Amino acid sequence: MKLRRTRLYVPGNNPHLVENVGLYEADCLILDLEDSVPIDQKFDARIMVKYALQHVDFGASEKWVRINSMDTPFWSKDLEEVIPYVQVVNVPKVESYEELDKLSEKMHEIEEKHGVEPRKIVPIIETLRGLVNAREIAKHERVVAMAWGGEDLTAELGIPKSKALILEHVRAEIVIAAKSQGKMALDTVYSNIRDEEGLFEYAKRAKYMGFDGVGVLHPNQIEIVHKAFKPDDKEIEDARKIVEAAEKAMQEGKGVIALNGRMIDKPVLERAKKILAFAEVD
Amino acid sequence: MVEAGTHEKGDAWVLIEPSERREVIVKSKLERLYGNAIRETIESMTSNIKAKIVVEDYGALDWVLRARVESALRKYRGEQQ
Amino acid sequence: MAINAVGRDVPTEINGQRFKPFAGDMKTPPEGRRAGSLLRMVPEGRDKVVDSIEEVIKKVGLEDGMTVSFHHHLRNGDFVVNMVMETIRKMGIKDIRVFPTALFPVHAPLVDMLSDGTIRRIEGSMNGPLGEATSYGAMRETAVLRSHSGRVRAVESGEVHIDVAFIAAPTADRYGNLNGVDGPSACGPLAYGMVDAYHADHTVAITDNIVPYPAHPISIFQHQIDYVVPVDKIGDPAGIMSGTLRITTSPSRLKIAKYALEVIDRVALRDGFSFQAGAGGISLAVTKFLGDLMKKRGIKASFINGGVTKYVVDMLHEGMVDVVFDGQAFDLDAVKSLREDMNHIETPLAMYGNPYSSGGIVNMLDVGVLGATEVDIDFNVNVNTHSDGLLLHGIGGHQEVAAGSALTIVTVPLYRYRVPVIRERVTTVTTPGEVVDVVVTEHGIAVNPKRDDIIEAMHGSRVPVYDIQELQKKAERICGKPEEPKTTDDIIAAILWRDGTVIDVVYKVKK
Repeated sequence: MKLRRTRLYVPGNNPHLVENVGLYEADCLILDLEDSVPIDQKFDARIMVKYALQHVDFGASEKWVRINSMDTPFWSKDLEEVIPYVQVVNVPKVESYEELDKLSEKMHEIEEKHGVEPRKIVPIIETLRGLVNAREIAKHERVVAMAWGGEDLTAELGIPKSKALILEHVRAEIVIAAKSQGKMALDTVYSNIRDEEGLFEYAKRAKYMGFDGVGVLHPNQIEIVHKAFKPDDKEIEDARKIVEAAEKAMQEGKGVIALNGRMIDKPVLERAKKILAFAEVD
Repeated sequence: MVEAGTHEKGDAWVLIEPSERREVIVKSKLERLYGNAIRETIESMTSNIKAKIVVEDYGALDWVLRARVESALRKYRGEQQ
Repeated sequence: MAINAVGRDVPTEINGQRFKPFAGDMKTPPEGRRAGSLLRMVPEGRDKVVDSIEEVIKKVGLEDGMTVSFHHHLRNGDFVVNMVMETIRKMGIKDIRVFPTALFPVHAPLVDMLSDGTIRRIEGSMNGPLGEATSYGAMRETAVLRSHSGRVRAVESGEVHIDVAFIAAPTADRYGNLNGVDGPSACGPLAYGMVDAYHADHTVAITDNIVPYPAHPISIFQHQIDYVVPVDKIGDPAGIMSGTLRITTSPSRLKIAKYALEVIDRVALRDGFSFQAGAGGISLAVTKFLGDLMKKRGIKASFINGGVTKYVVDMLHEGMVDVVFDGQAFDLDAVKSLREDMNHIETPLAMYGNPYSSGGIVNMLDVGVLGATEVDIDFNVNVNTHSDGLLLHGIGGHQEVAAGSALTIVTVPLYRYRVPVIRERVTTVTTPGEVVDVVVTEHGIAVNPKRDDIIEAMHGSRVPVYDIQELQKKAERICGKPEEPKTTDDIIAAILWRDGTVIDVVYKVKK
């Protein structure tokens, strides 16, 4: 099972930061072409990212690129450079299913040209309209996970982000939209990179909200988040019993999985598998 | 005249400007260790253009240098940003 | 010339003096007796103060060709070396051998004295411009570099005889008691000056803080000091102290520190263990992480040898270590602690790691964490030259800490801005692979094959363990193979092992 507990944002036009990304064991690495790149460096950055995707050792991390949003003139140029080498396209400010279709079409065109398999999409929901359409957006076949960001959304409402009560609801909505389609839900970043305890609590909350991971801005945050997402011993033990029971049922050709006289439903088995994956045991 | 890259450590900065004759100028702290390698990379990517090419290297890995040269070259050829 | 134990072709004569080739650590036994200084008559009166440097130079009778020594506790804030050497130059005294513990970029004015005949050679660490100038052939004779303890050995054995020691003293009384913990130019211990005070024919303290007799605490005692010269300022505090040293924030450097910590944890960490601390970014991080881990495990260290910083002082004052041995202090917290805490001990440098003694502190170290500019596939370490051949750093205590520690860890990035650090062959051998146990990089570690106990201890760890050849190839794959240094056959410097044998030489670099 592919984990996406952490996705590390790395400024795409900073080669010195990019060259070591594989060392930090984030589940996903995002070479960023959007917010961390000033307008006059967009051109250089997408070429830099194209080279980085080919030459940097990403280790076991999934290769993502955050392209510029579809209301800019940059997004299709970004795709032209990175599609041949990327695994996941991270798209900011997605507002509708139709937008993703348009994006997907462009991706398809480039994939055909280079003879590469279809790339995945992780949309970022950042506006009220996007939020309203989140459940539709999550249905798109390329979407493997859904992320969100609160800056634009709180600006739309005219409230400061740090005090916005609505964000808890937004989080719930993202989880419901993504998970109801069997996709992952990813929480946003914890921006105080010096506050390790705060990050740990934040990641724990994200986990119990139903998220599969959070964004990280600094490599030092990765280990802490992974620790927060690690199930406790009791959870692991229970999960192991369920998975073992399932394996036994499989071997014995039984259609029903039973443990201690109780029937195990499919979602329960899936949760057990997920817990074991998060515990990093097979 | 076009430029690409930055003056940050680990990066390279490239300038290309039209010129009567081809000219390649390299400035690098690593001249003694990688001067030849840097020139070879620039040569292999730009040998077909007649222009003045200035590269300031700040300890860029070869792929970084290539990215910056490609960036400058594409701008020089008029590609829209 | 002769091939030594690390395969380097080294001269047997340097500046007209005989030297043996390096034969391995502790393979060359000492000969003879300790050398001494001139006996002198107690001075008349109760005051040793002389008004100017020029006057004191006349009094001690400094002549052409003599040797003058300095210590480096004022680091890059030192005014004393330039002050004294400029006076010597103005007085027209020539062919001086300068014998500092270390020189820094602030001492760049000495470059001109290499060519005008004032200085014939420097025997000591040259960090920065002087080393670079020497690399290009500016020095008439051959520079000789020794480790901290190697320098002590050279003085004690008579290999180097000091005619006049000029000792920068942050605090002095008029009868020559000195310390480094008080005054506007406080630097902490005067550990490096002690040897010179004991062995030089003439000793001059230079101070900007005269206090009533007796100055106390006392680091260097009155019976060893001939003259005291007051000046306006002996240094610039901004260059003497490092300010608040910060742990590296570089994620890759932190990763190196974490890997090093895990090696220490698996190999050496136990109640009562001891370690060498330093002030480099990685070193600080290791010290800090080690402190956190000790707290978690509820264990205490018996002593820390430093390189003392706030991080070390905090551990002392939290009761996590019994004793701090202090050879040099890096920040004001360290100076304050040295002044106030009995368990914070100023150590004479002769006690540090002299191989021709009855045993130094390094021999009691469990863990030493060191840096390097290059390491090679034989675990040889270079801290002196850059990969282009330029001599830019001194040896420091690298050799003796590596030789003495039960576990010697060298922490280095795999490469620095395209320059590979793990090489097939280091440009210059400072410390031989035989005394290096583990090389730690951000990509993983390599263990010296002769330490299979460590290889064993690392089983089941998340830290990737590689053959050092693999790390070398990885570095070369990322960086490309650098060109060889462009050097001539002229030897500009000799690198001595701490026992005085020649471990390597540095060649002149073509402009």
